[in-house]
Amino acid sequence: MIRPLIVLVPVLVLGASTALAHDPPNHDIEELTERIAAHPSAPLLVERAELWLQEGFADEAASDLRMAATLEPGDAIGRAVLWAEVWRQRGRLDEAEAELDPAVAAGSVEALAARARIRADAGRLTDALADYEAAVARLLTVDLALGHGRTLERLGRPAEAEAVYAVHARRLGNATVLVQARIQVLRQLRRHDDALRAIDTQVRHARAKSTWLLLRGAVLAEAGRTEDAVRAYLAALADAERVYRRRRSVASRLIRAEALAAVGRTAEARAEAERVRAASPQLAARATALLAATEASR
Amino acid sequence: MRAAILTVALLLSATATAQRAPYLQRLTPTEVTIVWRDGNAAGEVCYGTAPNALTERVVASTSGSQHEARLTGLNVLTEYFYAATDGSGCPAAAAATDHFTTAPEVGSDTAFRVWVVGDSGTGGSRQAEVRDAMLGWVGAQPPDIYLHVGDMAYADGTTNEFTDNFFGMYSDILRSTNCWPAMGNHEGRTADSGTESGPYYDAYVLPRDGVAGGMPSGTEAYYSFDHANVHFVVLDSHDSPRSVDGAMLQWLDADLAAADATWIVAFWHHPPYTKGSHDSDNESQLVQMRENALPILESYGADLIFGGHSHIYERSFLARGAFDTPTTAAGYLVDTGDGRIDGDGPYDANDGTVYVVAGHGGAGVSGSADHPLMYFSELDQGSVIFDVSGPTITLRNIRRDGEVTDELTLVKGVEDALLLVSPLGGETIAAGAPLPLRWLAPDDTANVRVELSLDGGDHWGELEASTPNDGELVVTAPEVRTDEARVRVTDTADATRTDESGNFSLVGTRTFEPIAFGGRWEYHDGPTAPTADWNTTTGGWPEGNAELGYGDGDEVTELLDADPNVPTVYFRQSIALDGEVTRAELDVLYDDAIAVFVNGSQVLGIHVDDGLDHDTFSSGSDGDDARASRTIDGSVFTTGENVIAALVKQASGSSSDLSFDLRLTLVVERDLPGPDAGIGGDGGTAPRPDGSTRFDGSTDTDGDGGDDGGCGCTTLAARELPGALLLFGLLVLALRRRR
Ligand SMILES: [Fe+2]
Repeated sequence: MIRPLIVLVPVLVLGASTALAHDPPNHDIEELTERIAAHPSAPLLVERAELWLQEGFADEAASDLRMAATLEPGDAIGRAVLWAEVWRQRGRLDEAEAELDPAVAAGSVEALAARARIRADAGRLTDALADYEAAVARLLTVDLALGHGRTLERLGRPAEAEAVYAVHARRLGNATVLVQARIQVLRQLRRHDDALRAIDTQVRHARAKSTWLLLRGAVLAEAGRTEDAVRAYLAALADAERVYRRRRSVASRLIRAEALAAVGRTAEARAEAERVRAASPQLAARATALLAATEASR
Repeated sequence: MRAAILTVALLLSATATAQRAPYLQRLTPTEVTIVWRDGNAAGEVCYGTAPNALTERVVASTSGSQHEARLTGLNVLTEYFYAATDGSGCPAAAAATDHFTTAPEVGSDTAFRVWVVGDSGTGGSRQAEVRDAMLGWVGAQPPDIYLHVGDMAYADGTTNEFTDNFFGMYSDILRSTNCWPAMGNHEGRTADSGTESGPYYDAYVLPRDGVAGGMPSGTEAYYSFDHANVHFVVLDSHDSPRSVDGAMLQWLDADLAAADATWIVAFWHHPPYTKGSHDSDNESQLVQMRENALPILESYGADLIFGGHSHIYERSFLARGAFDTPTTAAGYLVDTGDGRIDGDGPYDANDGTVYVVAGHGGAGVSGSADHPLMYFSELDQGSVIFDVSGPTITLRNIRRDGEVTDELTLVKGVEDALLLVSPLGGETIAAGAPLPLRWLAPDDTANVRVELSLDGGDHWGELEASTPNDGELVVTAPEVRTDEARVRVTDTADATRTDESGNFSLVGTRTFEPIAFGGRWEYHDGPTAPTADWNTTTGGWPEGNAELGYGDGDEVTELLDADPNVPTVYFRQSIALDGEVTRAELDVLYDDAIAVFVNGSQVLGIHVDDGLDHDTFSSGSDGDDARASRTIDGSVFTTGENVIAALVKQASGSSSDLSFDLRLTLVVERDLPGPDAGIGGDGGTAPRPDGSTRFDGSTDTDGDGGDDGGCGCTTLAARELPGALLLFGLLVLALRRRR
């Protein structure tokens, strides 16, 4: 008597699922729904659950995952990451983490990476760090490396964060975002020469060099090497002028304004920053910061 | 997120060992990587700068069946020939298909051509049609690089699907053209961006370390590269985090801050604006790319952004700042013109961005095609070709039947400089026809002087001493034959603000439509036959505009619907020509039979096998509003008046409808004087006190071509431009109807 029941349950549930609670927001969900109606299968349901999650429909995803488990028990590890995302979207970070624990124990690096992010989001930084360390040892991506370093920074351990950024950047082809993060930490640590060397690994890739030259100038100024700083700022301004003539974008205008400010041409810098603030919501905060920084020397 | 799917996929991909012909990857000014798959244990590439001198050798790294040979230390913009071998020796010569040209020097103004394809990977006939339409259109100027915006291997991006639906389908192209890809969701079913694994990442060798230009991304999932004066950015909209503080968009900001190229072109799979098979107002990947990536790209002045995913062709107006959800157009369209050089004028790319959805490379198209940012949408398969030439980009949609259904020009003026946009040089312009000039100049340029040279710039004559800086002027091309015509536009107050075109040709050959669809015809729809000279004279019959006929409801002029039907109805009009016709094309719309005459000579007959007598019905039918095109013999035309006449026959006395319309396109050749007649001669110019000359040609600032002297015909003045506009209008109308 058990066998027929197992067959019956999925059919009933699937019948209900084909009339979706929401209009599918996504053509791919619509297509999958048709395929599922014709040939219900766990992989298709899992795929649809993933799409529901992408669109923020946690309940629909949960129902698909439950159906997939009914049709084809097993693969708990593969689906754990999706279940965790369901709970994360419902704001239940503890449930999300609990969902991932067995998968992590079973050796899933994806589950480990997901749990690291959830723990970091929940502010459980020491636990997050342990997960990041275990994850990056097996799978190094720029996002995981950033998460690893940022967690150390949040824990107030900048020296270790710097070392982590340095190692990861080296393994990831000097990935710019990791080098940028490292330079910020090096400046905090007042390790100016290392910051300058890090900048140099990037400057050679940049055809428009002014943002990197401005950064170089700032580090030199922090190191008390004022003359060198001015030289860097002047070079930044020359390059910013060259690029601005070629690309009249609001960002190149702002970079030029920052260079003008750096060399003490405050009035021009402020006028440009005002224009940027009016023209670009995207860059308004940076323009406002420039205006605030130059307020005193007006 | 995709562990379950990935596991299955990796198993699938591991079992296949496919053969793939050599293809190019990571092409830069000084290196290229050649990749191929076969059953050999080792691989080697032999290459050289002549097809029969493959003197250099590079051993490939081999993993499974895939070989990758990285050729470095190459010369900039140089053609090389190669052979992919098993390492046992080099052949005497490279196959004709196996060659490549290294990229131009970064930052140079070298012109190049780009092919953009999306959502192609069905392996079906539509995909092949799209490919062949492109090849047919480009002819001897094939694309220099190929961009694929994703979904290149349906349904799951497996190794076999890649081999058949991508590498097999484009094999001959890929042997000599680098394809730069963005990952689609269908590739994402079997590939993982986090681990950079799966068939997509196996197939491609992409720059994660900035080796092709741009800042190091640290991943093959998103990357950038430079080609001449364009910086290309490729994002992963499917499987990499799309948040503003994620690594991808942080890198994007740093990468763009370091770009100094004239142009920025970006592409990824999920388009920020679309109403095709996907809707950018509702789907999270599309919404996130719009809300998160576009503000960064636009602030750095990105010029052209391509997406796919949505199976449709869509091309936007010049837009800026439309990041909200849902997307509205109000306040975000910077230029509401068509962007055409021969229309409202090109877009000034300094002011905004153009968005293109090229999800029409082979898969079935669908959607409402009514996105408010789009100037043009088309539900048919095709691909995009764009040409970069210094400060100008010209983009065209090549539909699968070879028709160019959308055309757009972007120009990029340099601050404080004047830039002539049209003509650029290389054009062929009919003498005596309207010659539209377009330029961009700073706002504080009040007036410009416009000059013409007929000898490659050695001598100049004034067309306008001073005309307002409104960016355009339509002049009449002089009645001169030359291959060295140039125009020059100069700020009257600042001679440093000046630009001149390259050489273009003025010819006596003129292509035009003396009769457009919708033209005005005399007609005879009565029960009795007309006089025998009906097709050699005009006058005395009633007139009406085409389409003429009855019974379908789409007629502009309704004819007599007698019972029983009159078997034959007659149409005629006269046109005047001032030269020899070297080519003539006839397009007719008919129901049920038609015969066309030029000056009494029959040039076309369809379903008139039972004769032309008035009381004879048609000998067959092609259904309602059938269309046919024929090239006809030009010798039937004469200089002066010509009578174009047609008769249309009913199928029977009881048939419900009858239709007629006709378009005639002619190429007319006139004898013209050489360039000496144009400047300083007696060809309508007068010497000026300063020793220069002034053309006495009329200028026609309203651009309608009206009253322009010396055109190929008398009816042209009223018809040529409105005809073209009318056709375009019909196209848009047809699209709207399909929604
Ligand atoms: Fe797609």
